[in-house]
Amino acid sequence: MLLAGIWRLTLGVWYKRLLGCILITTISLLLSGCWDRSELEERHFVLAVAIDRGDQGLGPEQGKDVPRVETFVQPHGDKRYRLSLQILDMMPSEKDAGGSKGEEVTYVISNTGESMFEMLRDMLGQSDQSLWFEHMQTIIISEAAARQGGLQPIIDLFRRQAEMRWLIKTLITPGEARPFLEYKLPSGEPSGIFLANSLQLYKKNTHVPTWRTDIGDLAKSIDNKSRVLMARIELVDNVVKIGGLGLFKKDKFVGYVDEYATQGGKFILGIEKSAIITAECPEHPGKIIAFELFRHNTKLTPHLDGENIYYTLDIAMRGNLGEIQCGRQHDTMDAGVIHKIEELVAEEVKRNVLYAVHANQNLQVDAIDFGAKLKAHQPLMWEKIKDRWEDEVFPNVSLLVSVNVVIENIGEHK
Amino acid sequence: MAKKKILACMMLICLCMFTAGCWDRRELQERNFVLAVAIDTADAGMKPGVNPEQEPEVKRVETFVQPHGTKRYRLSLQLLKLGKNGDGKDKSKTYVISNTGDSMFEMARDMLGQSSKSLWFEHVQVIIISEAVLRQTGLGEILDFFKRDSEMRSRMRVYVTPGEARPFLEYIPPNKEAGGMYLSNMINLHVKNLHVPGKRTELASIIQYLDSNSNLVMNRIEMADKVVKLGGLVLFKKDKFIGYVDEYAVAGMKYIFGSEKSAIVTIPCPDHPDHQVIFELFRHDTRLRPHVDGDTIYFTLDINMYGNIGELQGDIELENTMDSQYVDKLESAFADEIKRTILYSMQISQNQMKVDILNLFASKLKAYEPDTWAKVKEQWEEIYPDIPLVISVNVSIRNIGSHR
Repeated sequence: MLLAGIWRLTLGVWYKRLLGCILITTISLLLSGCWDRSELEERHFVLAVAIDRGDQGLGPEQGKDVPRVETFVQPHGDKRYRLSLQILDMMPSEKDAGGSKGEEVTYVISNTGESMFEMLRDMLGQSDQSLWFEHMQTIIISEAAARQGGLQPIIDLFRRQAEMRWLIKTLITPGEARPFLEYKLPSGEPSGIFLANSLQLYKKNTHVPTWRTDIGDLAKSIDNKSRVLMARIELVDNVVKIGGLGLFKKDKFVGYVDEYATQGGKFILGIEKSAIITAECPEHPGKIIAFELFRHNTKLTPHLDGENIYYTLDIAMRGNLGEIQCGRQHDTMDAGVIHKIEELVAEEVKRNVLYAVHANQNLQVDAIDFGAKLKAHQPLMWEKIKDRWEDEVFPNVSLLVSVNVVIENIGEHK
Repeated sequence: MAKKKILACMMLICLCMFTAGCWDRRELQERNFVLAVAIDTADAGMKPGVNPEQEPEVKRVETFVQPHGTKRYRLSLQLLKLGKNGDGKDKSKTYVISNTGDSMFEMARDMLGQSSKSLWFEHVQVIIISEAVLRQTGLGEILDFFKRDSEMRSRMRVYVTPGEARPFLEYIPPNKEAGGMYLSNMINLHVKNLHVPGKRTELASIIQYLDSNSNLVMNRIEMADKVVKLGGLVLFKKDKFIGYVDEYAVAGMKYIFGSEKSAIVTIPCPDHPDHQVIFELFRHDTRLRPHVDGDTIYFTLDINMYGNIGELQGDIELENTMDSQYVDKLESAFADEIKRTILYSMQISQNQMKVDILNLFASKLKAYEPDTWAKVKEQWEEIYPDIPLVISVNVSIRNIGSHR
């Protein structure tokens, strides 16, 4: 009897405790909210960043007062850079109104100073919501800003901050950078996203480099004290065009390389997925024959001949006949004609490659990874010359090119 | 009989349920919400785009015959458009009406003559006062209406502008939000933006300081072309406008108050003066204490700061943050810079403006050394400019944000 009483008593205590536990669990399940949420429309997404020299980037209509109001009193340094941010306009009412064409979906704020971080934080004085950089797509740097202090001071913040993504695309422009942020696309797409997407088409467009032009690759290159590549972009009266390459030696701006040399560089590195190679028909001057590359096998090897370094480049290309402007005068069913065209294209590829090598050698910048190849294949030699590689050795190395082109389809019928 | 009574009672109750409506209801669209208020001198703040020849005419129509006082102020109100603004040309969600006079209340009531619905002040977000008005009269006079009327919320933001105040009401924010909302949200970022005082600048605090005869601060807002920028601080001695304090000194004041949540400290690299190094403050521990030594009063300020290296605009080889000696050097350089910032703002506060900002030092003295305070409180204004502040700053860098 007593035992049963004690048993019931302890059971009662346990039962109550259990009930309490369940109650607390249920309550916490029901009451828990998202205490640290921040709503989508309460963030300001920064889509693109433009970096100009301090005195660049303002429109003519903006008077003398704007730079003074925009900026802040700075304890150190001077107004060296202008940082402009493109911000996505999230107002729903605009979208309800149909988002008619030419409607601005972004706007730009800017500031001048020396430290990027300080400028960013001061720009909160021009904004009503906090700025989010996690969806940033593009950084556009003006040549003048890059010439001023090198690349390192400009991009340091973007590599150090946790909010910045490593896949941000970087572009360099000979003119001012801010107009790209204000550039309005006919499709109404924000230009920051447009520029990043446009670079993705490098697979089909050999005039756009985009090999290793993300901020992550940039950081790696700078850390390795090797050359830095950036795609070049230009804007003239509402026409935006990406093409060609800006070259940096370590972090100093050296110069541009044109589209033709960019294509040649891609042939050397073997990173082209597709290419259009044009040659003039020897029999009909002024008529163009175009070869469409589908598949290729490229091999670049360094060789040592005593102290002398030379490279061999073997390229085997397969593809189609893309265009013959004098097609009616040739019988492309004839293997002999095709063979002649193959040779013609091979010759052209060779010329293109050598043009690219010379362009790089003239600027004394090894954008075509000759040094890396040497390091991999001839590490002992590399150790000896690595300190004077770009300035002395690289401009004088020779390249033997052998190209073999096979035309598989002619895209014609009889 | 009793049955009938019960029946009648029940019927009455039922009727009550059915016929009871919202007798004092007010529909949303029948109110004119005032979002922002601008106060100018009477001759400033004309409606933009008015033909200069018609200006006197507009002025005459806007206002009213006044029994007392002169036309000293221009009060402008930003009203929310509640209807759908379908036409694409005019993107503004608001419009502005204004009036001139002396009493704010009188002007506000007379402005009903320019409105089809009654004006509701319960959602006023921001008051913008032009410097010219503040130079004319004290703050207390201007804000009295906003302090006294029960319709006003005490969380309104108050800004001061060196130029005219009305253009801020006509400003269309880049994201096409209603202007008043935009302007009041800007200040919320003060936690991250060291150049904006932010704290204790809403109407409630200002009124509190006014009533306790204490010195106060407000935020400065400026506008040029289409750029609106918040930054810097406006200093008041009691309710008299004294002057502006730049962004650098605002940072120093925030350090003294310990009110910064995050901060960016820039210094030139100790080894290479043309490279900038930036410290990002995450956490700090700030302590301001008064000390009395015989007849002399002095203050000590102890600051401990923890944070990251935010940016290093130099060569990674030359400025190696993996090297703990270099980081130590940076820490002491940052500490020196913070000290310098504080001294700079103390110099402005003590020598230039001669204002004990927000009565911070006085209130500390009163709290910790009440006997001394009782002795000096009458002459505090003369004593304050000569009070020494002993600063010790300790910075420790936690993360460097770089890798190998």
